[in-house]
Amino acid sequence: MHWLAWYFPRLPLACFAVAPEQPFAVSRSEGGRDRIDRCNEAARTLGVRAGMALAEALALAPGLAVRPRDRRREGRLLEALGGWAWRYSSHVTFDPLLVLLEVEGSLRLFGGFERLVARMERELPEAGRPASWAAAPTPAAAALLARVAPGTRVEHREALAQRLDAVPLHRFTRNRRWLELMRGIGLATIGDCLALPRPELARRLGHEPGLLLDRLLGRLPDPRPLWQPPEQFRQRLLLSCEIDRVEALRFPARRLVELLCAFLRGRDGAAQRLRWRLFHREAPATCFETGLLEPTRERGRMLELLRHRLERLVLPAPVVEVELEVTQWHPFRTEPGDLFGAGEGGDDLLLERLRARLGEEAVRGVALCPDHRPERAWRFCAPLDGEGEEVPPDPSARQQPLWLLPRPQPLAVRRGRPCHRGPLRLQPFLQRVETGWWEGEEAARDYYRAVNPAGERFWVYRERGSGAWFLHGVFD
Amino acid sequence: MGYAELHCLTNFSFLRGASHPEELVARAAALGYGALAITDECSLAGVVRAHEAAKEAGLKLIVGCELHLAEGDHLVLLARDREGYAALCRLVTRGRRAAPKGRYHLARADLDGVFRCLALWIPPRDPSAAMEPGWFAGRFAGGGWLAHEPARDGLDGERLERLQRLGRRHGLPLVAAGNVCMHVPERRPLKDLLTAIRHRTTVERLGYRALRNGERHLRSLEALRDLHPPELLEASLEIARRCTFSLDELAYEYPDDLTPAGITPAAFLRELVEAGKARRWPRGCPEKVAEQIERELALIAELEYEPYFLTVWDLVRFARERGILCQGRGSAANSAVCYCLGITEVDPARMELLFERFLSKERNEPPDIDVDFEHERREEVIQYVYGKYGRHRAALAATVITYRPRSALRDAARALGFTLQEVERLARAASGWRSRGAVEAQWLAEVGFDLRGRRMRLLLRLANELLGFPRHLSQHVGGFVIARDTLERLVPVENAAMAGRTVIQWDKDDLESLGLMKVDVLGLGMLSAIRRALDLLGMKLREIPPEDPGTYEMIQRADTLGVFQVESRAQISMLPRLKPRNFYDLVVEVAIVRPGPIQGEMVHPYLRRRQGLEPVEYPSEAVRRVLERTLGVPIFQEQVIRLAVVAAGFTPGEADQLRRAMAAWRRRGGLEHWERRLKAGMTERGYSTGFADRIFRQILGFGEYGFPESHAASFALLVYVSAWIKCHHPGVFLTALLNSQPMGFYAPAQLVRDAREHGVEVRPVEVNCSAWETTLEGEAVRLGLHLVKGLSRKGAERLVTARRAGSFRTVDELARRAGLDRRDLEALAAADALASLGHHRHRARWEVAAVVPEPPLVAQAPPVEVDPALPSPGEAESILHDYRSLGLSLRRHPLALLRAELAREDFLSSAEVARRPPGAVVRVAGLVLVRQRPGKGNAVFVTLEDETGVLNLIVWRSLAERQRPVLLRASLLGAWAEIQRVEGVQHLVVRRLCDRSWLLGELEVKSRDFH
Repeated sequence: MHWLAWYFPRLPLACFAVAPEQPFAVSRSEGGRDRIDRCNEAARTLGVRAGMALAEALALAPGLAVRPRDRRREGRLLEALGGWAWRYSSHVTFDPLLVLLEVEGSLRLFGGFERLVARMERELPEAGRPASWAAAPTPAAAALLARVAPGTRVEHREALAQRLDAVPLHRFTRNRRWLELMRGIGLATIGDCLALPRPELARRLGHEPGLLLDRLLGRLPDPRPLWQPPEQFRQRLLLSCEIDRVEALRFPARRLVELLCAFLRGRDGAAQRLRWRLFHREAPATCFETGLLEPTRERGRMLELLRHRLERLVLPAPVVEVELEVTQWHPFRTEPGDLFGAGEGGDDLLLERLRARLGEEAVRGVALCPDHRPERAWRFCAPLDGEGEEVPPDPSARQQPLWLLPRPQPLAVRRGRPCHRGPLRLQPFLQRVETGWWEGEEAARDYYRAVNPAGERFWVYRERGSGAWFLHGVFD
Repeated sequence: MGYAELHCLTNFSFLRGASHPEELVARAAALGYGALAITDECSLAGVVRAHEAAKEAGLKLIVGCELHLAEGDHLVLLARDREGYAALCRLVTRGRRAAPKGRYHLARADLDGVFRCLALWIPPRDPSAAMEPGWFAGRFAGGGWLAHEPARDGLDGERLERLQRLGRRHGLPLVAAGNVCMHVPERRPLKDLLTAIRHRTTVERLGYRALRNGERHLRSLEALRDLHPPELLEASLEIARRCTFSLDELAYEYPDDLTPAGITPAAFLRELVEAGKARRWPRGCPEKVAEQIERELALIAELEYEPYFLTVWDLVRFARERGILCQGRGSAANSAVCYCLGITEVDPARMELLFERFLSKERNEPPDIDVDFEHERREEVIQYVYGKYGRHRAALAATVITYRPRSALRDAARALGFTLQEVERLARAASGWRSRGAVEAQWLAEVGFDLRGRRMRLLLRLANELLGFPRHLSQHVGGFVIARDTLERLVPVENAAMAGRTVIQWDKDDLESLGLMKVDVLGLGMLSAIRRALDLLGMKLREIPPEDPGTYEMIQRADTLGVFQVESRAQISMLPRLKPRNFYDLVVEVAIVRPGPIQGEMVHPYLRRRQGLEPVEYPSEAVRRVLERTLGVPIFQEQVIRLAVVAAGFTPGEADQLRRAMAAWRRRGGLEHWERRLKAGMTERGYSTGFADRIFRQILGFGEYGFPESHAASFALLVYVSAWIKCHHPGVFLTALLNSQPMGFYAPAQLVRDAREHGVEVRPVEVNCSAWETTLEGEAVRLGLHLVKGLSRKGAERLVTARRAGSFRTVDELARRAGLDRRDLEALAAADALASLGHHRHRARWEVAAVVPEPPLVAQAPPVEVDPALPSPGEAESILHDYRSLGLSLRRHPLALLRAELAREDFLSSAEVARRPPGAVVRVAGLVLVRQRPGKGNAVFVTLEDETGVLNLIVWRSLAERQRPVLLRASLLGAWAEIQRVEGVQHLVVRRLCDRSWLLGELEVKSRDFH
């Protein structure tokens, strides 16, 4: 057995797409206080260090973006990297922030250890960089060495104990009782621990420490579950700061596409339809697909296509998170599948067709929004988006016409009366809307029903500040 | 056509109302309303403030509340008269007691006992919704109305029509109301912000929960006429006319439990006073005092305050019986009567007491006595009060928790959609010493915010508007209200956060303005310590010899670490200058080192005169009589009041109003009127304008900080007693302080260090010697097991009990006999308390780890173990573990180990600093003990400690602001500073700070900051 461990120390940071010049850190909660867990280079140059209290770091670097560590996301990203490792061994397993692969059988296939490592390094997706590796006869030792002594290769089990002798115990385990005991008796390294009489140690801490040490040194087997890569690809990338320019999305998108390509290479597959979702803080997600003429796993082509799509995209709100999903993949270099294949719902199918005929932008849905400003009480949305959600309409809406003008139209005033195709007769004062102060442009209006000489009925308002009249809607 | 607003929320409907009660009252009065009802949701917490304001504005105030019933009904109840008010109080109490703190639960059935109230039925907002006022019509027949509350939401017409139909069907008249939540429409943004805070969302996501418009304000009469039919407006006035209740009717009745049957309270009080007199002066009471007793008793009788004095006497009596040390203070406490009753120990023969402060006929306010009890045993007294009077009669006063800069910024920023990090940064901007005053733009710029944006402008404006808004009611530390029959008739009672505690809905200002009696049952750590010391010495308080020269010598040296009050840094720097020689000097010392006298520029004149550097002059004989005992400088609050009387012609009652205005001016301003009167009065009586100006400045300085002489005297007594103990029995003193922690300024580490410097032998914690508490072994002090972090009290007690059968010889034996679990054993090992078992810390830790949690059923010899080779602990590691486990070390000071390293950077020790001349600029470093920012905050004071002593740093404001992070966070702080030495008091004025905390490694040092 020969285990190769890859350690991705920056993975907790890589879950978030951050421009390199943006000082960025992830935090963890420790004893009720937030501490810096890891930070990027930009933050480091400002003096931010791992282990620092969050408040202290923010004092040093006021512009520091911080996210709490998200271990679920890290797990997903690690699994995506598993897709990359899958090409080199069918025996892949994980430790936190580590991908472990058993390579004894692969060495010949890839032309020896050095070549294998070099090749893996070359093909490592950006999200996994920088990475360090180590190899050892046991997975635990490989994992430990990858963290404490990158680039080490121990070929024989007998040499392990000596190699690991001086490694501090706290790098190996988080078992608090074990660590506290060792600290309490003034000892610190794995070697110290190995020197302690084993039955006496077991009496104090139970059998786990001994078991872990024996597995580490290969004195006991260390069975690991076999990982199977998932059938579908789905990865999300959280943005460290909100992106409101479409061009800026290319950086996180590139990361995702790289992960996808690693996945596809691992499965020897290719993808034809990439489904993108851009998540916003305030608005429903923007979804679109980029479809290729034929399945591919070429990064450049996927990115090129995305770039075209992004050029036409208008963001309703800044983007906070990007997701890429591929639900179907094809064996590499096969004929393209049927675009309008069966298996999808009727609405979806109809939508696809309408979109295909009329253009994607021509088909829109309408949704209610709770807002006192009539023009904001509804909005366009992606078709079928928010289906089934219920926003109870405001009772005041009963007094409003269904048809609103795209934007309020100023009305001329003659002899003190607003006119629209003739002077308007106002019915009693209906309602006052004053809201939206938080957006700077506050609405302050008094709404009236009005009738012109031709008997047409309108909905007009007078701006409370300026006294100007506007036509806002028409009663049918 | 007039109008009375009958549905109005204040900000005491927390996070719903957007205006203070005072603002609403003032606005309603200005608009010419006939009356205003304050109808907070199931609460009367805001009505007293409104009542005060209404009296001032000449507006009629109606007391009521808004209720949402479990069945969905929404009503407003208004008290018609005293009985209606009592019913309302009962109802609110019932609703509040039936739900967790901050909420209430009431159903229709709960209203069965509500009489003599008028009611408004508030319809749902949607006029087409189902409306069923049938129950209401039946329940409030003849006293119920349907509220017409136009909202200008497009539905007003429909609404009125619907209500009129309903009214006809159910025989209910309609009345105009406003559903008011703000006094002016400009509060709309704040109201939206509050709504967002309440719903834990942002204003942008409020949706329909945001206000549609600004209509829910107090409208002008003109606007009201547009919106309501005239008969509805008239109906509002009619209701107002029928509500005749005023809070002034609340006549407080003192509890009468304490007077034995067949005797009047006055006679009983006299009996007790006479008995006390005989006890205090066995050889006859001095005539002057006897006269004073008569005067006091006469005044008490006239004001019928006997039950109050009896109530306090009873508490003190209870405490004495239980051996709980206590002492009264407050305006009424230092009277001859209280001395005779045993409430205080300050001999009136030795003090000049000010009669007007004792009680005043003109002031319609209750007497005020605070009683301090041993802090650890205060709960017994509280439980006694509950037990004696019952929970329906006794409850704690509330403290209104209001928005401060930090909380206001935090909540406002969250509601405005700032990210969590931004909120964190903003909150940090208002941390440390910035806990009062307005939020300044500058703070936000400092933490990296661009002030130009709209968001920041909104934040600043709204956070400042939010300041001072009440957030919730908390319990007052110990202010009890006790009623004769039941409190519920007087004020609603609600659940406090602490289980089993209830609070009333009013705070102590409310109580004071309504003239309700309150007894403060407070906790004071020093009393616990003194009681312990007296127990150890086998002495009684009155056996402490008075005016002991040795004690005063020690105080003059400022050798007062641990002594009550005069251990603070400001006091320590004043003592060598003031050189107290007798008890009265201590009274002055206690009162003079306060922000008030310091800002009123009284300290230096007093010092100069005392040292004979400046002549003592009086502008008149009358002034001489007032100020003679303090060398012509007013130091006590009483003197200022007395001056206003003798020099400016105020009546005693007016002078006391001046005192109250002084206490409030920092919050509300409004002293101008008094300034004119005072200065005019003095000029009229021939005093120079210079003198008048000075007196007024001193009054301003006093503000809320001035000490009354009586108060200072009570404290000075504790100063003297604790100093005497420290001086003559330093070991006892240390033992008593360690056992009374947490208290005082200094942590156990400093107390132990100080005691050792005074020659006290301090012995380490040790399983075969230590008790739970720290004890005396002859002259030496044995640290107790209570200092061991992580050791359970139960375990420690079992250990002490088991030890009576003989010492422990092995860890196994210890574990078995004392029944200790592994956690306790580990704590003991970590504290190095197993040395007598022959184990150094590492070995002890290894041994205890092997103890099996469950004792074996069959006694069996422990298995023979192979001993691993364990290193013995080094000094640095031992100190580190000592601090971690005990918070102190009997080994060397941590800085002694770092000295070589510090010396390389030219950091001097405090001993070396003492040898440098004043004016020299030196580098120093030490562990931060205390950070303080006294008074106006022109400087931050930092106390550093190293292995040779302590250093006092002064960090001026500009530097403090510039180096805030270092100043606030460093635990090992370095400074580049100039030595200043005046009259033997040394300060270091800092030019630059640096953080050397990393040198400490894992050492944890706790400082005491900004208390």
